[in-house]
Amino acid sequence: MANTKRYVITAITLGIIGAASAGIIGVTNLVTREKIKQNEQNKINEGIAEIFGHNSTIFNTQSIENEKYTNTVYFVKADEKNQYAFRADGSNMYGKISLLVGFNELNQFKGISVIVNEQTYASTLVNNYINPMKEADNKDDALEDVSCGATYGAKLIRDLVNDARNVVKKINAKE
Amino acid sequence: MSTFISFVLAIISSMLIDNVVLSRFYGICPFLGVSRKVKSSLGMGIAVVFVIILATCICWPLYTYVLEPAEIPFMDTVAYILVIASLVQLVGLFIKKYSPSLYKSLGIYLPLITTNCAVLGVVQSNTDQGLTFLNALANGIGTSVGFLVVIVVFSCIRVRLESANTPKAFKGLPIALITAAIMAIAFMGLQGLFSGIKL
Amino acid sequence: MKREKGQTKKNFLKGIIQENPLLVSILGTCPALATTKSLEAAIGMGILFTIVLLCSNVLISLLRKLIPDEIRTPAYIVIIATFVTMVKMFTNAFLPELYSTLGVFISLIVVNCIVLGRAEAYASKNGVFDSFIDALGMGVGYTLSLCLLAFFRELLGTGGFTFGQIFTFIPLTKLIIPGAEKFAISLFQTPAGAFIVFGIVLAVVAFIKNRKAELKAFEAKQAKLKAAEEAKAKLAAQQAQGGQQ
Repeated sequence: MANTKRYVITAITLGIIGAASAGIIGVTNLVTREKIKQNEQNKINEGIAEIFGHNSTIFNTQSIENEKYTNTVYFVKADEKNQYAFRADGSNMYGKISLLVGFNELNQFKGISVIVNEQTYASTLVNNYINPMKEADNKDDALEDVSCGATYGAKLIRDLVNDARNVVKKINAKE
Repeated sequence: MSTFISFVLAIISSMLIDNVVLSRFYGICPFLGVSRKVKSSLGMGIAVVFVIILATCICWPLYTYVLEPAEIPFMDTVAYILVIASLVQLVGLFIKKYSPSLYKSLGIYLPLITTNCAVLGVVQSNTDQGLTFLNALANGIGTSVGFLVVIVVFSCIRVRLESANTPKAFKGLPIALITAAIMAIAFMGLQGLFSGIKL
Repeated sequence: MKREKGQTKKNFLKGIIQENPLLVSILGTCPALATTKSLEAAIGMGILFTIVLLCSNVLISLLRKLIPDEIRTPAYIVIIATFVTMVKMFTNAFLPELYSTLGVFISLIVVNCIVLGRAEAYASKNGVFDSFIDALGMGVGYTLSLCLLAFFRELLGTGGFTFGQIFTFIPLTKLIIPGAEKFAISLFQTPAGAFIVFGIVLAVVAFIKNRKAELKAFEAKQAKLKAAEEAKAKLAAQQAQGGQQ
């Protein structure tokens, strides 16, 4: 009898602790959710400023769905011209990556900015592939040069950029 | 690239190139604490392999099919640590019942695994990085086998260090850490191992 | 009352020096090696760790009579994991740079042996105030030792210090010794450098310990000699007295 009582008390205590923990975490999530979303939006804005210069504004967004991905295109006005930034998400065996890919009005690749980089070799990828690409004059050549110590991540970025290029081309053709 | 090749490459990569102890720093505590004797390090390593693979197989579906559809992905850490703690208990009971001799050699290391950050680290980074199940499994296998390899090699070195003539201040842990540093430098040489493979 | 005050101070200081969790007890080594690439990351990790330790120690000490003995460890783990998740979310919301720098190591505070160790060894047996002070001492001690490692790693690896990259609310400042950049040893920024620095710091700690032990032994020997000499002198004096009589 005493044993049963003890088991019941133990179970109830564990249950209470578990429920309290879930409740507290839920409330924290409610408090911080908006702020986290806003941080991501800030990061996108910063990325657009980095690619197109500080005089750029987003004037329209459109989400694109096909069998491969759901993504967002940002129509950017910079230097009085309509340009595009493409939010591209992808993943390979080393983790996911989320990019902002910029194209100018002639569909030429203009630059990338990293939003989320959860790759195992994230720092190698940034130091040896993304940063040199940002500084390179010929961005297309830098994009093709994937040997950098994190080859799979670089190939993933190249494929994402090429996918984005095709999508942007399609949008242009429609207009 | 075929799935099988990518599976094997992911295992090798998380085992050797991005080794769990020497470049990701998970599980340093058992690495330093249980590596005085080759036998005990072998026991610890095998126990870790066992638990990490099981934990990966449970936690990845738990996150993808339960936590995410229920829109509570933020409960992940709590759920994982509970799964790992109860898994360690269950594995202990199971081995005790069906193979007492195995329990004799592995049993004392099992409770230590709950607080081994390699297990939670692998499980957490699997879902944080958004890996598919196959790649998560590859990461689990590679990481745990990498841990086993490194801790056994390290214990072999430490046995010899015991009788070496080291300065008094470096006796014990300090010289072991310096040895680990040299091992880490050796493993750094494996970076970019796959660059030449065309797929 | 005064004695109590002295005890509080002692309780606080023991976490920093005599029982320093990282350098003396060698606990919590994983984040100590992984997050000490730069001084800023080390400070951030130390602060997050201290917050978790403070909260869990206080709550566990409050609940110590309510939690049955059989489920002590699971209950503690759930409490610690809750606080870690909260800290993780707040960091993600208000210091996103720190969140992405520390990455999975924020979650790994759950399995940090120090937090569970303090809960088991101290908070489950002592009052709320004592547990609070104990946690504060341990947290500060851990933060300081992280900073010590990060100081050497960043100085030797980059030739100076950079602030403002992680704590974005302070302006970006680079304190680099002129000319030292050329001689920076980037090995110290890699994992291997972490092991080397930690090993050498531990060796210095061991050296100080040995020195203290030697000094103590030396003092004890001196005291013994002195006592023997005094006894001899006393004996001589007694003998002299006896001779006079």
